[in-house]
Amino acid sequence: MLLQQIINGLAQGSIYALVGIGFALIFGVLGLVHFAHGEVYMLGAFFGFALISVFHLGVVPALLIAIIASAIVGILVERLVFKPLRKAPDVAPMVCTLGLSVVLQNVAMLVWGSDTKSVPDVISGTVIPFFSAHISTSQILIFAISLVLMLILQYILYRSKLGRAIRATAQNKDAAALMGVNINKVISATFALGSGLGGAAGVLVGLYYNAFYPTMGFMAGLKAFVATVLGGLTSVPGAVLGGLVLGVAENLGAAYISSGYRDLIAFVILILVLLIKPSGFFGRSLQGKV
Amino acid sequence: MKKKMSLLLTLMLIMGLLSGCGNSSSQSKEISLGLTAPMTGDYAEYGNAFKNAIELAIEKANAEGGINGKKLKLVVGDSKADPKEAANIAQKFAADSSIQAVIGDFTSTAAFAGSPIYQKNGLVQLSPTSSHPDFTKGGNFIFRNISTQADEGPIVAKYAVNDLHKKKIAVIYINNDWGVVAKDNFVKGVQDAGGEIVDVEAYLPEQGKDFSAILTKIRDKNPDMLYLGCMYTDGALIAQQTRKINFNIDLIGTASLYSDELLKLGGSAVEGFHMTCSFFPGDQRPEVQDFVKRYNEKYSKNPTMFAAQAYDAANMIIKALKEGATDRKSLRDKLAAIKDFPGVTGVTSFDENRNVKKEISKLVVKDGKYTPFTN
Amino acid sequence: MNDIFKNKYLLGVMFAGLLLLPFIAGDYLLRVIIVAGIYVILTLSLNLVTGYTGQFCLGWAAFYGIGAYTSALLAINLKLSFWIGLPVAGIMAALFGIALGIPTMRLKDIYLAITTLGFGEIIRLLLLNWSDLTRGSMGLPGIPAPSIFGISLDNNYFYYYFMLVLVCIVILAMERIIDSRLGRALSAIREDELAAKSMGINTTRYKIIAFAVGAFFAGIAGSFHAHYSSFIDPQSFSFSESTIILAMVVLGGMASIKGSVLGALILTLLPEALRDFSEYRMIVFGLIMMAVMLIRPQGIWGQSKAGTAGIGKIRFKAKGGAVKDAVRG
Repeated sequence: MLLQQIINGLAQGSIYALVGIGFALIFGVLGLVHFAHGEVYMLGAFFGFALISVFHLGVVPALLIAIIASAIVGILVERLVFKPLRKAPDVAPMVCTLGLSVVLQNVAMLVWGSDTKSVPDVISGTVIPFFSAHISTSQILIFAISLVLMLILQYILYRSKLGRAIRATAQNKDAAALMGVNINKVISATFALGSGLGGAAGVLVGLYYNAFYPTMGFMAGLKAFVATVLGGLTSVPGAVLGGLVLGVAENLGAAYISSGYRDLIAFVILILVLLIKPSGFFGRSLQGKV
Repeated sequence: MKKKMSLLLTLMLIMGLLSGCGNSSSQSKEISLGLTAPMTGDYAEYGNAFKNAIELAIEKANAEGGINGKKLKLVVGDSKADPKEAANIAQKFAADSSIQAVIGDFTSTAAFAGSPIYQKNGLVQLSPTSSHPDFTKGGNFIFRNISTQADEGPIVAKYAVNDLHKKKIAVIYINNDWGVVAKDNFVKGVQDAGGEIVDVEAYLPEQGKDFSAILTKIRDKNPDMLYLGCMYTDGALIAQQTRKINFNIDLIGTASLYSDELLKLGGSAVEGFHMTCSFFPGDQRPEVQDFVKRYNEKYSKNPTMFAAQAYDAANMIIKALKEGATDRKSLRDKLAAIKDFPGVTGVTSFDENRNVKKEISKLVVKDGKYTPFTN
Repeated sequence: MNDIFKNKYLLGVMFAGLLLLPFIAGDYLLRVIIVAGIYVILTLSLNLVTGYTGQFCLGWAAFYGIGAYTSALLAINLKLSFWIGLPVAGIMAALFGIALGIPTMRLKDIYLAITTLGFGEIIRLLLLNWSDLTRGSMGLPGIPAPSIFGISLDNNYFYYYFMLVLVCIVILAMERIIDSRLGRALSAIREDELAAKSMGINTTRYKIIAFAVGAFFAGIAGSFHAHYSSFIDPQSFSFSESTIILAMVVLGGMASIKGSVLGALILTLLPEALRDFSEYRMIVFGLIMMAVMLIRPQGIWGQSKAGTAGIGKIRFKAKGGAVKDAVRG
């Protein structure tokens, strides 16, 4: 059973990772938390499924379009909320995105109904034995797609001009601006990337569990944020590792401690990390106490 | 300065508006039923099922001449399954003199929150689905027309142990007021019948839909049957997830699973799913067929058990009204006296505690359709 | 604005209006106002921590819930009177406030916000899962109404006047605090914690006191709510609830007593008045939060500088300084 729980945990963790990367990117570049990121994930799921069930697209094209749509949503949020508040105190964008998250969830409930939706099996489920456990084809799909997306992201970040600009801005916004980087474009691009990944995660989750609903973003967003914190808030590989660790920890906790207290695990981890080693796995270490 | 003055004035305006609402004694020419249920939020589908069914009942009653010539109306309060809202709605309904009785709430916790107010104001509260054992202890104005899990639980248990000869049963239940009570009664029922409960796992509604950890854990214990204490959506999802990992265990649950949605969402995964139910559209009794037909005509789908419960609730109140209930107190008395009412959910009588015992039948999903279980 | 309050006549009229309200208003309106009163206390309590001290706290409903459950359980299991339960609930919540404050005092802004959010969720999950103690999702029905010398006080008049008394006490207490050395220290912490420290202010101690006092008031509100509603369950103390209280603080204005009262009143009364549109209620709450931040971050009555200045000062630098800035020694 242990191996099985770990495999399940890794599958779930990949999803946390994808959403968590979004948090890490946005935090890295802006130093702010985007409370409505979970809703981007939710919208991604809805877009993807609308495409599959209404327009009868295949999984991959639907995924791609959902990613693009989510990226656009991300840019919209940036323009509407973060940009006007760039000079405002930090509380402002946090409270604002909190409000936005509430609005999006409730609008989704109004428009689509709050019940859980489902689309008849899109991925056929078969199961492949793997040592003492097994992996289902949907799990393989999740691993594969997540990996591909993360590799693409890595490529963009480290091999493209845009990526260099993003990293430069994350390191030092003012210096980057002085060097001629178009900060506005970078910020928008960051949101686009982060939100696109979040939307992809939403579609994957919908496919994997065959369920999506308007409030799915809340918990997922929160847990993904824990993953990001675990990873070091600004680090993309950290978010990935954090997501996987969190997914596995949750499943093991549910299996060996109690399924009811499962959500608790995420929050306890969060608090422990923040109290013991706030810089997480790969965040910068504490520099000088004041 | 000006801005703040106008703010203060707006505030007073709001208060005025509210006091207007609160004190409005509607013209005594109208008779209304109140409905307190979640019309939005997580449980909106059930609240809307209630509303649909009650409107159908009222339509019929009005078409037959209303109550002594007066048309019956429905006043809806959206409780969002939130106890605080339910309490506010209760107060509002109590103050509205046109409302003769209230149907609701959907969840036990919301129903509980409203009870003290209904009781204090002498207004009947009839819940179609509150199955918490202590609910009707709230007072003699508090009614329910659903069997409690104390009745249903042992029946499901015997279905599993005696009829299906299962020895080792695992349980997954939703950790809310309904689920906990369902689980407790089922577990006890199984133990009383001589079966063994090998594992009990809870899940929270907002936890997300991943049951893999729970299912893996349960599979390890080698049960021969899995009981699902949840509603149809989750039931379908869990069924699917078991099949996805090749865990083809037999499934059983309560009437809360009964719905066309279960078949639609679950597809092949729910084939062979056993359950109890108190309402079956295939029932040949004329009142059931009439209800199903009219519900389909108006709403283009089959009614669920929830709709059926609300329909009966409304009709019993209408009966009490037609029998000459002139005010809230006499309505309560006439309602309490109802015996052998031919409801679509079975022949219903209120006992001295304003509870009911329904006939419960057993169903199984065969070839994508619900069929009565035969031994 | 102060002109209004200095106008003795207007003040007198308002006061008389408040006193006579139960006689003019029907049961329904009275209930709504009593509930508004509970939120006034909650908003004030959160404002003390978030507005005045600048500690952004996201899990506030936890203290409300702790107070409610403490009082309810004492009354149900130990048959303790409401009059004992009320202060004990406050003290219990305060203890949890201290428990939260101590480990988190080194965290700033976003880290603090998320930690408090986590704390709020942990408390809710405990209330939900520890069914042996709290009856979990079944909730606690039948919480006895307050009584004195054996006479039950279970009527709206009592609840209203008692709520009025509680609100007055809390407001007076807040004013005393703000005007005292403690209050000035809290303001200093909000404006610039670093500078406050270097001026010799024991920021740790004062922050913990702020949490404790705020939590105490929230706990009292919880106890009142429990006995008034006679039924509580964990879902009433969720993150949504914390968000609503925060919205009230934000709308009314941080670091403003009048603002908190106004914010709470508006966001309790308005949704009731617009009950026909209740499906849009949460959307409106969210939009209000957004609109306030985008248009006027200090809220209706908040002072332009206070309440936002200090929190904003520590802007996160995303480079190596991110964590350095996040955790102040």
